[in-house]
Amino acid sequence: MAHEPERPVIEATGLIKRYGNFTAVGGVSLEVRRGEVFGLLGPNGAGKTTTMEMLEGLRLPDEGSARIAGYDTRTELARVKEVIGVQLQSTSLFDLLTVREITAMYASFYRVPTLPVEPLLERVLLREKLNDRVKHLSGGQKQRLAIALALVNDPQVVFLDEPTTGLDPQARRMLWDIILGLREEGKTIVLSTHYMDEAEILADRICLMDSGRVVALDTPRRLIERLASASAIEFDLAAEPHASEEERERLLSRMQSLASVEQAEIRKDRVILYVDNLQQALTALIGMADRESLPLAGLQTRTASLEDVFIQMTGRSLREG
Amino acid sequence: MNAYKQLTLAQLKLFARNRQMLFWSVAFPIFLMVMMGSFLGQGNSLSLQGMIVDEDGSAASAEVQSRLLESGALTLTQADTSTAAMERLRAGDTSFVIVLPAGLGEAIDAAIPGQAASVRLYTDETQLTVSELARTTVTYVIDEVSKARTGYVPLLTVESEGVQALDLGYIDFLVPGIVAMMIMTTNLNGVAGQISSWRERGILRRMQSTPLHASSFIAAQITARLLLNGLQAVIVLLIAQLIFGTQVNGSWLLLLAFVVAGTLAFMSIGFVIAGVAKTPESAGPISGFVSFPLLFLGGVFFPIQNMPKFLQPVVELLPIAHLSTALRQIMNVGAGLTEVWYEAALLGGWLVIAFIAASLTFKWE
Repeated sequence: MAHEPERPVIEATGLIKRYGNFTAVGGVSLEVRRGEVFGLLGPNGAGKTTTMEMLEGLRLPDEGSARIAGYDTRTELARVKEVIGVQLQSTSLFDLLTVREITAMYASFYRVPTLPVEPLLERVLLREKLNDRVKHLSGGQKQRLAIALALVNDPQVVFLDEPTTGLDPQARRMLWDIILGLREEGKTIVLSTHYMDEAEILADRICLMDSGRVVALDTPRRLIERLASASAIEFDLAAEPHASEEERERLLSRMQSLASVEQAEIRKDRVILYVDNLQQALTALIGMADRESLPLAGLQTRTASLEDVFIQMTGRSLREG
Repeated sequence: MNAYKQLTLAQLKLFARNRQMLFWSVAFPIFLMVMMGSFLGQGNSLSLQGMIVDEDGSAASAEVQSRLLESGALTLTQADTSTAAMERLRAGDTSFVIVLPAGLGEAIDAAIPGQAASVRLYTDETQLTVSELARTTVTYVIDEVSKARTGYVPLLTVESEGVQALDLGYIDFLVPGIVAMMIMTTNLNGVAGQISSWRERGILRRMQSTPLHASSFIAAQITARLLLNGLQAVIVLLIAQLIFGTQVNGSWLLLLAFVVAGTLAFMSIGFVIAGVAKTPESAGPISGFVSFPLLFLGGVFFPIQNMPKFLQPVVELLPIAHLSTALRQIMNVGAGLTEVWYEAALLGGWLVIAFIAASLTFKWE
């Protein structure tokens, strides 16, 4: 079925936000299509939250503009607020209210028709907690409640700012299922995270951010395909912990010259080789290690990930500040 | 409208479920009332403690002294010399000194017309109320003695009623002050603390991302706090009535109207502090800095008249002073709006100024 290319539900052009001399976001432009899960991925301080808050209209950009569902966040903020749902990175809720009460309270803030409370809480698996006070909920349950509150006005766009930060693996998976369920229903979701696995699993497209700028924007698969190398080999440099900068450089250039190795790096005393043919590279590496009695402690091979894309594009890892 | 209703309801539930806050916000004023009420004596409005020195030692002076001692209004201790007594007066240990000078008995016995014998009264003129009362009482007693001696039959007498008939004590002074204090602390300190903590915790920011208007939010806060304060004031007043027999001689409606005005004024000041304070941790000390001096200068525990003179012009402008004065006038003397309009106007002025400042400084984040 062919149809008109729909207007993007979010259009942002040249968003800039400065705090004094510090530029938190330095010119972000992006479009989000209706029904997609759009991931903002980057380390802490990359400008994800500030970007998100400018899209939500919670923060006015110093330059640039954003439109949500056609409404300008600067001049039509009241309309924007009716069509978005927001889960902030660190919101606490009234501890002494029950799940049902707080949901009803948030529903009362909207003029547009809101969703009935019980089915909504059913959707985030909080049905049996309806009459429990927020104080007694676990971290994951609170986060699910925050998502329910973001859905209460049946919004066109849902903003989730690092929804799984600080949760245990099981609670994270539960939240992923809920987010994937929302995607099934056709909700547009903007999700920020500094977990690459989360972005890879949930997002249709990923906007890779670093230091307030967009580093890359594509589907997770195509981002990884951009890497010339499909796999990575890692091992410890622990054998020569006191190696001088010069010795390290020499080692790297020798590694670089091995068959099939595209790029070699040392990160935190660990050597990473990006390779396009794993078998060839491994054979060559082991041969060299044998000849020079170089111990290959902690040897690992893996397929290249978004983390590697980030490292290659910024020279830094996602986990570094 | 729905948001306003829901937020009011939510705030009332938060109050009701925060048992500790609820308990202490009522228990503290009552505790204070009982403590101060019992220490500073109930029934005795101002204890007139003075010293008496009989330098004459005649039968006539003994009679005058015994009449003064018998009068219930004065608590007198006898002193040997006037110098000792005067020292105590200067040190502030006693409120006044009565001296029956040598030769008093002779002068009385001689009874030369036009040359009345005199009793000397020394007072601390900085303590206006006390010295005035002492003078009146001593004059009255001496007058009685003098009349009895001369066999004077009065042509006219005064049936004294008025304030005496209300039987006011320190507790009657204290209770309205404590109600005023409660209104100030729960609102000024309460609002500043709560709003800045909600801001810190992102609760306000989350609300800001919805179409909720700040006006609905603030209106709900006001409504909930008015209901809470009204209830607290009524509870404290009823308990005061039960324990100490304090009365509300004026209209309850006017009294509650002042509770409302006070709540609004102090809430607005609380909002201003919440707007100025950068963190909830600093909101506490700032509101303490504002409310603590108000507590002591504003006529809550002590009459404003007792304040040092240079402070009086400042004290005259404090909102709590007018709230406590108005509550006192209504409760003690049964004043109507015509008598407390000045207090109402000043409190109203504070309300308007603080509200404007609050709306200028209010921010969601």
